[in-house]
Amino acid sequence: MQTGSSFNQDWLQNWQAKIAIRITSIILWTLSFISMVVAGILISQVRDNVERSQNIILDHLAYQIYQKTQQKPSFTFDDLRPILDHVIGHEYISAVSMEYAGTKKSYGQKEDNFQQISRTIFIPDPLTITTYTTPIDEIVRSKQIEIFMLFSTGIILLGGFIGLVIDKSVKKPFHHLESVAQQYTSGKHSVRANTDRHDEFGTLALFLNQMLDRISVNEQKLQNEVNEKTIAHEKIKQQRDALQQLTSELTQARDLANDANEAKTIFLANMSHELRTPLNAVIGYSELIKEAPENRNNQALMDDIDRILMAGKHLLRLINQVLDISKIETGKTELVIEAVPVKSLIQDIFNTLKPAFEKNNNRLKLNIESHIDVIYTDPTRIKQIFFNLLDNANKFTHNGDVELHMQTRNQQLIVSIKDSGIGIEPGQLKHIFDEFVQADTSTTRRYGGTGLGLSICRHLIQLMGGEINVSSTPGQGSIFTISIPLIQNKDQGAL
Amino acid sequence: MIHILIVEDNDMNREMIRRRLELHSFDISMANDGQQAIDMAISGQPDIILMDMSLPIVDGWQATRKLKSLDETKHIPIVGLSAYASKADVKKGIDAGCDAYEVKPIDFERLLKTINQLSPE
Repeated sequence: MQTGSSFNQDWLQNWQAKIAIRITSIILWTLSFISMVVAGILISQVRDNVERSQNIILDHLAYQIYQKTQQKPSFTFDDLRPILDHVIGHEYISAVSMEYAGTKKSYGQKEDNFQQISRTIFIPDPLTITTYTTPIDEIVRSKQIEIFMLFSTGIILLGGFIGLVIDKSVKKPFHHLESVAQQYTSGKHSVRANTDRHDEFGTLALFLNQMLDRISVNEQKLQNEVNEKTIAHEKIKQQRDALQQLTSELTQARDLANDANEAKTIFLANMSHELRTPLNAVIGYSELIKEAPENRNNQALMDDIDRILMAGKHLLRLINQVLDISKIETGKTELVIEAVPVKSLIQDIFNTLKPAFEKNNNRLKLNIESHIDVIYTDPTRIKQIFFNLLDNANKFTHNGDVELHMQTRNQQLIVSIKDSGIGIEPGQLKHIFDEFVQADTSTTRRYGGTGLGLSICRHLIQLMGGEINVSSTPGQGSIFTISIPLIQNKDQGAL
Repeated sequence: MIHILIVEDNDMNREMIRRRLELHSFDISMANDGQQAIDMAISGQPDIILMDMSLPIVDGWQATRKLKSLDETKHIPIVGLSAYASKADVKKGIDAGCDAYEVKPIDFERLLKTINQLSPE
């Protein structure tokens, strides 16, 4: 800003000076030209004038001398002296000589190079009067110098006068406008130019004022906008800070949650290990007692041992399922996709479950669409799902039917498992897939189970990109329907 | 008679496995820790080793690696037998050199099958 304003100042001053000089010099050049012409004319006439004036003086002198000689015919040269005295010393005449009747007398001082002009009058004898003047060239030169000096002085004086006038009429209003502009630039925004003048400067001042008004308004607008933007910016900054704060808090919370989750996973893994060791002893010793030949005939002991074994195996299943849930929830479960021959898979499951079905006197009907052969899925997980659902269906059904229906529709594998068992109360249906939920607590007592099986099933099915639904009529049975997107090959499963 | 070395630090479990295997006519010797297992394997030359993993002094993974690196013992099949039951744990055991890996609580029938598969005759 500082350099800019000083630059403006210099520029203004230079410009102003130039204008003044230019106007003055134009006028002076014009005057000089006219003066030169006039002076030239005057100078060119100097010689004629001098010659003429000398001749006139001489004629006049001759006439006066003539008159004197007429008044006093017996004159002497000294009688004529007073007349000569009037002439000597004027118009470059420094001496006058007279010659009459063989007598010659000179008055004044004369030099050799002096120019001589003579007149002869007859009274009746000839009287020759001769004037001695400075040579005419010298006179002309000196006259010319005189004229030149006169014009020069005139021009200089005129120039000064014009400069003064310009200074008054041009420089002053310029200076005023400049000062206004400068003051405005340096921050005094209330300053305005004086508009009293009725010339162009008055108009210029008016326009300058209008311009300054407009700049002030625009500046105010701009300032307001800047203020608004600053406030907005401040708000954004605050919001950003708040957001950052929130993000960092969330990150902390997430880290804490992750740590907690990690701790939970580690805890569960350790718990699993620590529970398995005594459970190994419980199951192992129970089986040992069962196997010991001396106990084989003690039926009551065998029944008790079976109960211990059942409880031990239930506990083992619980441990496995808790671990499963934990792994699924922490996203640590990965599917290993393989080609699975689905019919033989179902057959395997059924073989395992056959004793349980026979115990409850249930029939299993398989209805698998004939074209279904190999599907690409995780064999362990799909087995776990089917096993769980069929086991459940059998568990809650007595002397009835369990039907497995498998079909493909729209690139989906759709499997429904229908039983004719006790069914589920409508109020319980929506909670059936939640962890540790069975239809009611008495069910657990009557039918066993962990309350984790269906939850794991749903998690695994979701992991496969599918869904599971249930519908049920209490007293008539339930239908669980799974639909899983069909994978065309092994690689696709990696997606 | 097949000679089995049971390596197990838990007295109760070691005793249970011994008694159950003896019912199936195996010749049993027992070690309480990994170092003892290595010593006994070298001196006793068992037909098969059942190796717990969480053991004092030298753990099961170290002992397995050691046994598989020694000329005198590297031919002896080792069955990992541990309450570390996840897939990752199984892999860790196999990576250490176990020929098979069974989780606790023991599925005894499976264990018998595995023993029969791995033993020399």
